[in-house]
Amino acid sequence: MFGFILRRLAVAIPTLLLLIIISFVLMHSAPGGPFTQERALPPQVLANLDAKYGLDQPLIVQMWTYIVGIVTRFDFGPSFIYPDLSVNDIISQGFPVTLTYGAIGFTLSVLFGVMLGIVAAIRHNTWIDTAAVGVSIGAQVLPNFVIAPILVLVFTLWLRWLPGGGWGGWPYWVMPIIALTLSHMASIARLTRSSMLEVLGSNHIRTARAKGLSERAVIMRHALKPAMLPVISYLGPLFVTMITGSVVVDMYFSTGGIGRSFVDSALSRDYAVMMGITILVGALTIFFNLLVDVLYAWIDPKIRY
Amino acid sequence: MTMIDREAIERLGDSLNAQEVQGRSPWADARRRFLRNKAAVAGLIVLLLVLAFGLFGQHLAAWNNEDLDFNVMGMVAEKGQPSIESGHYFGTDELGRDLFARTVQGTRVSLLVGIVGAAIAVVVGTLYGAVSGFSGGRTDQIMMRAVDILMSIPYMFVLILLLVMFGRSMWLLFLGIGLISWLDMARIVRGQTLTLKNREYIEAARATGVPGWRIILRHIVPNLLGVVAVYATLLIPLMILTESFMSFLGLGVQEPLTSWGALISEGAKTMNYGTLWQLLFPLFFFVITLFAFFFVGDGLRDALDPKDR
Repeated sequence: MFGFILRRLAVAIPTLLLLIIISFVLMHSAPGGPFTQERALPPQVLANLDAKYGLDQPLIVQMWTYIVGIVTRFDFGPSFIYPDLSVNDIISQGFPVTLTYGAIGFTLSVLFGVMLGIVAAIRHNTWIDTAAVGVSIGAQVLPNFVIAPILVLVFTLWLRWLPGGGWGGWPYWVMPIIALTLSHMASIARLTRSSMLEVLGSNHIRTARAKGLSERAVIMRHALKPAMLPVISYLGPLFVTMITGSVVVDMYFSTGGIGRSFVDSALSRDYAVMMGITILVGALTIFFNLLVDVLYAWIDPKIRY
Repeated sequence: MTMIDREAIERLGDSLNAQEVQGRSPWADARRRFLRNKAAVAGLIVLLLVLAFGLFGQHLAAWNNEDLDFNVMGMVAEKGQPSIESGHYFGTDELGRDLFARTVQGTRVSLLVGIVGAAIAVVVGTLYGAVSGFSGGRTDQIMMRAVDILMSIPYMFVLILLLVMFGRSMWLLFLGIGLISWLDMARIVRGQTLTLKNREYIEAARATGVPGWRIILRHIVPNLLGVVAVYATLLIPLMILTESFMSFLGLGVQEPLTSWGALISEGAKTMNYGTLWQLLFPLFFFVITLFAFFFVGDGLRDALDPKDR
């Protein structure tokens, strides 16, 4: 097991480096720079700015300084647009917010998605099953930028229960979390249902039923664990989708998470912030995929590592 | 992004391979089962209707999609609502353009994005997976390791980056969306290829000296068709969803072109002004099409895989 984790780590580190290099090259090969404006700056000013941020150095030197900065000091450099802020400042403002509703949304979608999926599978081919499938396809099909305004219309404008935007106590959390969670809950429900159906048709379940176990024991003790395997492998990517999906939520509810910072920085060509967030999310993806692999190997005895 | 149940598709491939010796062709069997599935058939009919709407809808429209109706301008909420007399069957948008004609145009663009994006993903993924699985050994190891590495890149961000950096062109969008999703396809196809490549007919082809690339194209890929078809059907709605997300960010197709995503996000922005039709008409087409694709995809999978029902 330990060797397995080490081997996965050995893949993870070059992956992260590759991600840094790809995003760096991508950003620096694009036409125009952060200081390209409608009204051109005088060449001296531009040269000074470039010198200040090290943009006059050869690309390879810039990349080296950048990577060394991240590895040794965990420093993603200064923002190109906001002179007073570093990338670390911007991330540390937005990330706690994203993490809060992302983590709650993640937990809720797994919890309710799995429950809905199991109920649908147990009541296969009844109206409960049909309803569950219908609802989950519906939730998957409605994009969250449609769900968000509908929520605002209902809860803020008609019922006046919840604030329509901003970030503060729990009333501010409800709508972002619903908008973020719904479609993921639905896809987990569909995944759980189909995998549970598969398991319920397998031989070991027939054996368990044949020896007279109660339906409850059959499901809880024998069907649940194998049925959860595909769901678990979905959790790593899901976590990251929750963070990237937060772009819509951040923009609609003005929650101030990193999704918003990412889009803002992309539109204003703030290279440093964009790269910082891309790398952060990439690192999280790699970490969660690693975690899921380890969990998977631990739960499923058939996996050799 | 929503996901596709990879395991179910892999199972499907296994059972397709198992069915090879039978009196009746598995495809005829599958067609019979598919036609018995009411939801899937309904989905197929809906898809054909939407396609017809996209292809021929402009002949029914009373207005051109680019013309502004000056009677309506500035008073869209009062005068722009859907009506038969004014010729605006779906009402007008905020600028006074005919929403019916715009929806026809959006339908074309969205279907095109979905199909082209899915086609890129399917072609790249199938070839990559088949080559990797067929080659085996170290080549296979390296190719699959590369897929693992690419999987941990946050693609939504990279797509946004690409569109911001290199301009918002429709072709870049197609390419970007397609390149996001070939990775899963490659993994599935590789797994299927591994089980296929030890079959007798492949051995026979090898023995008669058919070159490797030809075995892949003539003998492996055609046998993967079922898996590929199901995956593609389930991929198209995901592509359409991704495009709509990009349109919400203003990075999707640009004016004067439009797509369902762009129309929906415009409609959602003006929801509070009493012009709800601007949201509901495009949303209706978007939702029924995605529903239909999911039903057809699931129906196709169940039809091709008799075990999994």
